[in-house]
Amino acid sequence: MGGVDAGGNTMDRSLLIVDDSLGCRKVIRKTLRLAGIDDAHIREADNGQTALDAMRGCPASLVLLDINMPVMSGVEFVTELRRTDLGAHTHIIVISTESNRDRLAELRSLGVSDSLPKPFEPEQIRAFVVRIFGEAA
Amino acid sequence: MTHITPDQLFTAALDALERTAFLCAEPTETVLDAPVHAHVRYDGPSGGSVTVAADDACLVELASSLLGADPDSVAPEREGVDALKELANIMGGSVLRLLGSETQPFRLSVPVAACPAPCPRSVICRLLVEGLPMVVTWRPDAAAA
Repeated sequence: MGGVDAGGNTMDRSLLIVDDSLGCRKVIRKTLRLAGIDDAHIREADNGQTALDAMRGCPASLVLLDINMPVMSGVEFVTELRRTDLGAHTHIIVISTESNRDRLAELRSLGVSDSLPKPFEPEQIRAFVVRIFGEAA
Repeated sequence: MTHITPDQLFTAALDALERTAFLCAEPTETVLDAPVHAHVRYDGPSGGSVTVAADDACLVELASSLLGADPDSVAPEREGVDALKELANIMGGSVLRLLGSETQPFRLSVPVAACPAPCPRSVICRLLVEGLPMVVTWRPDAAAA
């Protein structure tokens, strides 16, 4: 399976896509499948609150996170996740329209691994996943 | 205050449509009937909004391309509006980058399916997406214009 988590431990390929746009979630999911991720290992959440609920049920190894969402934003999700230590070993990649350097730096200080601006190329997501999990195919 | 031109709006829309939905578009001078709106508001050093509008056929084309789904399985009022809101969100982010958001603290709101009030300072980009009508409008607030 390859890959280590944020704490240096061997990890599975469980992923959580967090985006309020159904279309965006579908595009990311399709990209992950093409990158060799088993569809059964991919979950979706439509805002930060439902993502937190999903993490409480079963933490994911990698979260692909939008920022600009209703109910609970991506920044609030990361803050809460780190506060509760739910995702201590979870990689988080932000995929959003956020471009402000200071805010992106703030997210990194909260433990976000990397960020990708929207609109994105599917290949960019594949590259992130391969870097974290290793080559799947 | 940075001014954004219709050409810049078109370039941003083309990029968003190509990357997210693999759709092609071309600019047009024709006044288009695009009755369904999604808009996103931003605030910061200056305020304003970005609106994307389309008709039902364009919504179906957009959503089915984004989802990789059969057009017959896509409802314009559900998946179509969701796709239009996401496009408004992406366009909002692109407009903020043009306004200098990398170094300035702009905030983008959550996109909503609604049409803001007309604004005399609007910058409008009309385009045909695979031959179907779409209108992108940038509305800077009065104080920022």
